[in-house]
Amino acid sequence: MFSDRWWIFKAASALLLFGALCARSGGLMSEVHPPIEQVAVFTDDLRTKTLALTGRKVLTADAAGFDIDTRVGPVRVLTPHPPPAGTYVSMVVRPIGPRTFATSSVQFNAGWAWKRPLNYALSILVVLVYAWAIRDRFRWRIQDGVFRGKY
Amino acid sequence: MPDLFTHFVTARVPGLFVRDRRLVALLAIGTFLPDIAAKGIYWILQAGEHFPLASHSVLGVLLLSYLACLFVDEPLRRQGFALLSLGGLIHLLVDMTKDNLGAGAVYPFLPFSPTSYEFGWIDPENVVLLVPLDAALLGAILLYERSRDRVRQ
Repeated sequence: MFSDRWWIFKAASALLLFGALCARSGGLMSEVHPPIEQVAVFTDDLRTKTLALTGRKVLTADAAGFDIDTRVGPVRVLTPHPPPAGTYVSMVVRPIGPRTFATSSVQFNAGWAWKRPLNYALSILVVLVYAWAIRDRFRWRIQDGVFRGKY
Repeated sequence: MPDLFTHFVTARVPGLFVRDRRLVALLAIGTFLPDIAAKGIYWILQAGEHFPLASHSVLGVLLLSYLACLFVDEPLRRQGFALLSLGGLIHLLVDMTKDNLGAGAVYPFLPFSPTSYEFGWIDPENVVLLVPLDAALLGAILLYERSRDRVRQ
């Protein structure tokens, strides 16, 4: 399992299995928590589903609820305590009609506009810097297809 | 998602008990793998939002770790797989600290069960505010390692 024998076959198998795992899991998750784009076309069986939405910008708000933007256009979220327009929110919602949701919980994401980019920038920087820092612990031997330890 | 600096620092704590510097590196790389795979699938392959979730499952971590360990030296591979997997599992534990409103932060048993888990300790977007604390912890770890190496010499 860990030898060099049939290396390429093992790597390809692991990759294929991971792809199959992602496809199977994605299908299962879509049944339980349908993507928001799918909910745009409402059917009654969606009433029992919940969706977790992260970092959605509030387009407009009024006393009954607010609108958020999606890839299939704005959708309406009904809540007694709507956040002001322009803020970012995360929430767990339940479809109740075409392009309409009811919320079970809402989280205000204060500072979303800078916290998320900072998170990504820092993460990319950490990976690059660490890869540079540990370069002397491994050496790349492309003809062997593996990183060889230097020790 | 917690930033990879937080993930890196949490992996460096158990890394104190690993003597081989290459294995410490693999432990840290193991904590990067779930997010690198998930974001790669989502951003580069443009897959749906549910497709990359398996990268944050136990089976996904094991498969990613196995794939990654094939790229290290054969004598190091078995231990490398163990450390990469440990790093990935630490990543899942750290992700579980997020407060995702009860919707769950990690789906560890995919594809067998869609049940998700979270401890609900911290707003996911505020994890980045822990960076100064992470930096202090990392500084302490590096100082300890330096003094330990000096004593050994």
